[in-house]
Amino acid sequence: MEPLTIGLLGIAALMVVIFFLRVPVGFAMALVGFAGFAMVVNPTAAVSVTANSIWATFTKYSLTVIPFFILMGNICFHAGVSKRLYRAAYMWIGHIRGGLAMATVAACAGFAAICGSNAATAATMSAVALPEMKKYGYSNKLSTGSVASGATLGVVIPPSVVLIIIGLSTGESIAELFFAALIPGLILTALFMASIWGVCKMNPELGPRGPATSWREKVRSLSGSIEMLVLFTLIMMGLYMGWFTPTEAGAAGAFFALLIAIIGRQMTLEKFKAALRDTMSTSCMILVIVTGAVIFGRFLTVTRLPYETATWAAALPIPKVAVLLLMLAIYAIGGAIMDALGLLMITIPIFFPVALQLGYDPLWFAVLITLVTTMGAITPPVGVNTFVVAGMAPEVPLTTVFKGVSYFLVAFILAIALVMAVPSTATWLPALLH
Amino acid sequence: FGATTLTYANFPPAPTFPCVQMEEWKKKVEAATEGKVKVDTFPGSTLLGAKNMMDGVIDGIADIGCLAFPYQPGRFPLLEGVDLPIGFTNSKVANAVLWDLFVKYNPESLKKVKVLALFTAPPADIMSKDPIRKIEDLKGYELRATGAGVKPLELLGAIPVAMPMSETPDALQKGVVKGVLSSTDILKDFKFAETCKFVTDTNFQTTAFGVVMNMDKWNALPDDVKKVFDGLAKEHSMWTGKYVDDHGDESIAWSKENHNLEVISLTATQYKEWHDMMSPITDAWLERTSAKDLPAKEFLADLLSLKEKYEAEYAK
Amino acid sequence: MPNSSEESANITLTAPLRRAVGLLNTLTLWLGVGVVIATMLVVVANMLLRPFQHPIQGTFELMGFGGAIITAFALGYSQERKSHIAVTILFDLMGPKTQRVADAAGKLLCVAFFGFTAYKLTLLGLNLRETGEVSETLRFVTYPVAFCVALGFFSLTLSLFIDALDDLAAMREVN
Ligand code: NA
Ligand code: NA
Repeated sequence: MEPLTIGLLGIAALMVVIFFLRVPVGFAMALVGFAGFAMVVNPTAAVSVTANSIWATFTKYSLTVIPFFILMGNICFHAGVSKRLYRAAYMWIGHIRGGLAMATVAACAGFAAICGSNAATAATMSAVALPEMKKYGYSNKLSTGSVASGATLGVVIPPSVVLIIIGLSTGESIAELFFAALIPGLILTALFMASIWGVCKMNPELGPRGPATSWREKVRSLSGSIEMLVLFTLIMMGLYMGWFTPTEAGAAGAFFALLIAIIGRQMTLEKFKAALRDTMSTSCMILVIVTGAVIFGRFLTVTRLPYETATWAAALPIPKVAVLLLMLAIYAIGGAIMDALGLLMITIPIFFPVALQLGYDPLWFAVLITLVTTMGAITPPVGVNTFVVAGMAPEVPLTTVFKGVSYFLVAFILAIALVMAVPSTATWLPALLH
Repeated sequence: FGATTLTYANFPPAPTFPCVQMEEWKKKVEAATEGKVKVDTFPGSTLLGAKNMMDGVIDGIADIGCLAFPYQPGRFPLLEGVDLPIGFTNSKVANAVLWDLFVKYNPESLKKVKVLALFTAPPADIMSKDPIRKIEDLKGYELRATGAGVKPLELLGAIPVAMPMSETPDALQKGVVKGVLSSTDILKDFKFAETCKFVTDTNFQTTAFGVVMNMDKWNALPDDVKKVFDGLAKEHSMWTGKYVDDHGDESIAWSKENHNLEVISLTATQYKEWHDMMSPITDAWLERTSAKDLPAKEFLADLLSLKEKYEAEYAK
Repeated sequence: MPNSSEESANITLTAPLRRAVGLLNTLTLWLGVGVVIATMLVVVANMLLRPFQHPIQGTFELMGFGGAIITAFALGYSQERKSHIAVTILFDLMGPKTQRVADAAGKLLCVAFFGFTAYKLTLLGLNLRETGEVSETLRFVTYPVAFCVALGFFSLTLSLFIDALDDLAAMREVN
């Protein structure tokens, strides 16, 4: 059999294992990736690629942000820090339909300025936001959907691992890429909020209106947001003063959260143990998915399916805009079935020269593919953010999260269309700095 | 008889020199074998990463792989000698020395694979936000370094900070580190010249690379193809040396023009003084490697005399 | 309805195994927690010492290898807690009998796969020991970390095996 055929069959096999055997998604990707690699290369190599990918992914420095940001989120949850924050938010904007979901998206955008990873943002924000929105009667669909979608801002708003990878593999300046992505990231944030407003207007039960509150209650509630404000400020300061690297920010953040909780007398040994247990199982769940995606990605890579598709698309004799749309379509589909970083490493050397040759601005193109690939984190079948959020809310089925996310897909597509139509959204800020 | 397709994995992103030499090798091989061999390249760690390249090739994940020896310290004990800070001035010399040493010593650590090429990155220089003109400037100065670059900085009083390349641009901007110890190609390739406005031409350690092939795949190749590969080995290694030297110069020229980079040269006395301070590294390597019953002393003596010989040949 | 003596036989057979696996999972969990705290303290100490020009050398690799132990040592516990995400949309449409068979088949497939993976990771550790590979900055031997990762996959395999036994027992119940 041709490797390309095996590649396509592998994708089909993945779906069967995931959908009919109820094998956890991370396991299924590893399993099918292993079997496919054995078919394309040989069984010895397949065993080796599995063990080597596990070793390489588990020991990867940049992934250590995941357990520590989750720990930070869990400490905030178990110590009641997030409860008090959401209480304050409820006092201020609870009377607006979907107000807390909007606040959650805003918090995601704020957290995105600290954290460059989708999965870490999704996990941290789940721990902080999901129990609170539930308490105030928000539907699981809207609350999980807004966290999963809001977490995509983690890589759109700088700093961002995806933009760094694009920078290193194209030679574009990472600083300029960060500036280029800022406005599109804010546009996306705004459109997410507009979506929440829209769906809540159509279906008020998703995010019910809270009671009107007096100014006095509003002001009094503010004291509850102080701890989170202090935590956020400490991490931001640490990052900008160079106390720690972005990867160390997770561990430092967890420590600050612990300190704040202890000083505020909100932490007991029992609560801390619960936070640690939750952290262990959640971060393990996420890393298993990441590792599974890497193994499955190795298999797709060795079939050369992504290379052949990209080369084919780049060589098609069609108009300029059609080439661009086709490339974006490949990123959308690719982002839906394999991990974003692997996909970018494979396709960028093929697509980037094409984009330049067609006369497209490299920064603008980079922002576009970031948006499109990132959308993959919330689309089925392989949507890392949706998995993470579903994992953090065990009582919510994955399908509910996917339904919730669908409210935000329109906003995503609109944001992509807007950046496409108005390139200056991406190019204006970097040009200003020259 | 159909064409043989070989997979070739590489770890850094596509625009970097290890990948440039990979594409060049592919072109040469495909032309010289007249279509009998097709090479599929996998840059950017999409198939194998830096640390599992060697085992990945031994196990057949990829047929060919390009690896940097110092990324797996201890695994290639004798070859580590090449990356000692003995003051190579360019890659051409280092490559020629590396190749001769490989032929003479045929290291145990490479016997499970077929070696197709050997080359080094240019000797590392200090790129920094502040001018480093004298040894005092290095005192307490934080510089990003990994592997064989850590010890030299420590001995000179600087503070080496190990972090992945992907974090370095951000760390530079925020001041977590104030510079980098590396070959100068990254000034242009990764746009480090935006933040690092000074280069001190220190010629510290090199980073040796090897292109290795799965032994079974090698044995299965027809004799005429083997001949082509063998014939290319040294020539291609030297081509890579010239390419990286030129590329390093080009990177400096580009940085001067676009980012007002200043190149600082050390005086002869300074140069000797700095390099003398690093001698404990060589001593430690001698001790460590001799303890493994390897001919470290002899290797080092050959290394130094070959260096002298090729320096005369490839004057800078 | 299952024969009650048969069921108790099943329980007696697996009870010691269950206890042992539970113990292993708990043990690795808390060892992993220890590594979480230790790694966090390394970062904090590094942050505090940096201004005094005495950063902790090798924080980068300590975090990387620490992270590996954290994830690996949570593998058995996460399986026990059923933390891993599965998709049930089509599965829910199948009959109860088919579901049991599919569940058991999926688990046994995973048992075989991860069992083999644990074995290969052990070999990887042995290889690291034999080739004498050390970490880049601190030059410490890395093979014990590989053994920890292998142990994590071993506990995952055992936990999956126990779950598969439950599925098989349930299959008889449906029959
Ligand atoms: Na971000
Ligand atoms: Na997806």
